[in-house]
Amino acid sequence: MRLPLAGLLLVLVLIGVGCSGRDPNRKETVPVIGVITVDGKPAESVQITFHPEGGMDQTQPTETRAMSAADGKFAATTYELGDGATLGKFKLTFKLPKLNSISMTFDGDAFKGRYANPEKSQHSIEVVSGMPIDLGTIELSGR
Amino acid sequence: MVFHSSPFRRRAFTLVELLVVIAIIGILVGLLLPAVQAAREAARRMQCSNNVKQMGLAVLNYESAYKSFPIAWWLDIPGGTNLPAANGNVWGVSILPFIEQTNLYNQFDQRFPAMNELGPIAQSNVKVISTPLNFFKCPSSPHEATEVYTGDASDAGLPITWKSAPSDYIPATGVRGAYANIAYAGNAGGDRHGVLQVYGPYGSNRSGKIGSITDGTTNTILFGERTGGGQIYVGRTVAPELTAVLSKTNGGGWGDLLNGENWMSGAISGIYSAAQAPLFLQEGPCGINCNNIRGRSFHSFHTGGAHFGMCDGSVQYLSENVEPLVLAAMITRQKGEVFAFPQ
Repeated sequence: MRLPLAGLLLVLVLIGVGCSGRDPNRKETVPVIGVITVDGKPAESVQITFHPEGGMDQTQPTETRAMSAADGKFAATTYELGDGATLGKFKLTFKLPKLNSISMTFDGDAFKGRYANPEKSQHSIEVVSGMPIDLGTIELSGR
Repeated sequence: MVFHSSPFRRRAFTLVELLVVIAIIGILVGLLLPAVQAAREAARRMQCSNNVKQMGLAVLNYESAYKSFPIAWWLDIPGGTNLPAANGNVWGVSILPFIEQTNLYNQFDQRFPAMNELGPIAQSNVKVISTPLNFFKCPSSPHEATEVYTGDASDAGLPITWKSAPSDYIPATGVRGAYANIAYAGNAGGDRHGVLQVYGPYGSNRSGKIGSITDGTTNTILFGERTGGGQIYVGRTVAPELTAVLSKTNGGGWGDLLNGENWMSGAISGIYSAAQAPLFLQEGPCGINCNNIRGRSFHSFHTGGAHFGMCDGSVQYLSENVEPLVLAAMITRQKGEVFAFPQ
């Protein structure tokens, strides 16, 4: 009875390993989370753009973004909601646009571009494999 | 006692035999049922693909007749504010005579748009565009062709409403936003227009001539599937919170002006939850089947992809895992991308 049980376990483990692999066409992503406050209050629909140092990957282009929910929380998104950021160094920029319901684009910026320039960004992160990042509270000013 | 004295021996099933037979029948039915469902979906898909083919031919026949493609949508408001003098139309109405709906087309008074607020003629135009047409319905989509929904552009500063019968097809008017960024690896400059053009205050006036498709008619998309009606779906999940906000401007009808406005900026995938509903408006790398929000992704209920009508009249079934560059290259008509056609 021992041997079949061991065999079954082995098969289960192999299935587990075989099915847990990432999509080979997708790059590794690491969760990056945080909370946005504007003038001390949690802010909704702030758009966070992750600007990779050295520009966008030319061989397998991806773009990491995030948007804050009603409670100000955000989670970096590359392929799937909240799946995280790709590896590397990023500068973060912030915009608070409005949805244009005709063109379905996010237009304008309630911050008037103050946090939109990656060159002047105060928020840089380095995403390393297997090390989720919690950015804590990012305080922005609406005035 | 003599047991075998009787010349008759009653033949019967034992309970075990019966159970075994039932179990076997059960297993066989279990095997058969998915196959039957798959065959039914295959039939629906074929019908859907046929609609795309006919619609593609209708658009090309329109081109033959008028020497220009139909305008995806246009809206002209004189002076930008004189709403009562406004006029506009959409491709779905323009191709009616080419899908044997001339009678319906003749009821549409071209001097007015289809809007509830602009007088009796505009109102009767609304009646025309709320006529359900099976032709615009993909049988795989869960809604009914008769499911008329209400549109309302008040959020965009235009106090107008309309009603429209659903259409599961939408033109590809261009590529922008995150999708263009990812497709062109950060160098998304240049002309990213699709074939069917947007005119008026919301678009630029460009040639709708077939000669302007320098990428080649075989490589360029006219329109694709996007589940219409008033319901928003994330993946295959109904999204009531998004529906409440977006359905009236989602352009889910064949006569809905906004059906012509579909500059695509990509979507993100994910599992829908009410708390995270607004986050699914984010732009991203997904071009097909992530949600049916206008300007985000193409969407169908087929397995693994959606149909697209091409400028040469052919129908392509594109995988939902299509590379952004490939779909973007197929939408733009003269960007000159080099890409491998998906097999």
